[in-house]
Amino acid sequence: MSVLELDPVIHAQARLRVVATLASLAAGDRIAFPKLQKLLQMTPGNLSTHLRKLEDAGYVVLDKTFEGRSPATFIALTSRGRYAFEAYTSALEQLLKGTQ
Amino acid sequence: MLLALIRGQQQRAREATEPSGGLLFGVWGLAWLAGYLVLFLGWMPAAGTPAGWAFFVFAGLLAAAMVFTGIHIGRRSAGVRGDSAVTGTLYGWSWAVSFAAVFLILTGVARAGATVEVMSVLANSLCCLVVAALYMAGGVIWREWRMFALGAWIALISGAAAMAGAPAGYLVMAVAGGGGMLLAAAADLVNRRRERSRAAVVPG
Repeated sequence: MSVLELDPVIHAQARLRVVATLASLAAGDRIAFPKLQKLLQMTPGNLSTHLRKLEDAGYVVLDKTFEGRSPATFIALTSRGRYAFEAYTSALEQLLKGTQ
Repeated sequence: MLLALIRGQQQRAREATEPSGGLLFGVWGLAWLAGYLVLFLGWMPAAGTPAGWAFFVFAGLLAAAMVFTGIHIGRRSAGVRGDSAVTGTLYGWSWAVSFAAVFLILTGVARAGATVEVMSVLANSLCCLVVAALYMAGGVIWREWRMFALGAWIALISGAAAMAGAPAGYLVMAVAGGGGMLLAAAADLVNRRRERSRAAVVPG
């Protein structure tokens, strides 16, 4: 297994942290943008950019809704995203085993 | 390094979105230990019931634990929607409905002419049965064997407390009930520490 086989969408460290955070939620759960931002300690603009890339890859869905009158965005990992994350971590584990 | 980053971030995310079982067990363990001990010490042999102030302190401690639980769960679950929020809401309602039923049953039994002694044994037994059954149910829902075991333990000791009668039953509840919860809290703390150090130690 080579590094080239690691998923390039997730391999950027910031996006890896985003996906790891979303994967720690139960399947079928979604998290509010401000809470995700606080967990990752990213700026809103930065997080939005990474989310857009993940959305384009089909790894996350953005659910734009309203909380009372103010707009709110909830983010969830898709089953494709969860699979990609699991494939990525097991590829990493394989890599580590190979180097030992 | 990347694996450690992943595990560390996931640990952090879980701690910010899931209620801490250890913290809640600890708070309820202290409330039970102190509350039941007060009922035991405030026992008035002539009246066959604990003193009014003892009940007042007991109720105050339980109310404080309830408020703490509500705030803690509210904070952790804020900003997360979906299946687990629905599960949590339904679980919360099962507590409210069960205790409303306990209140109605106790009122009915008192009206039917139950003595003070019968009421005190029954009130404690019914409340503990609800706590025990819902802890076990929670253990099943979240696959938390520690919560399930705690529920089973509470069911057994509240049975034992009913057999012991008052005031010895209150001592059973304080030591075995409150103590059992504190033990579960300690086990959770140890487990969490271990998980955290595992997340930090991973090489690569």
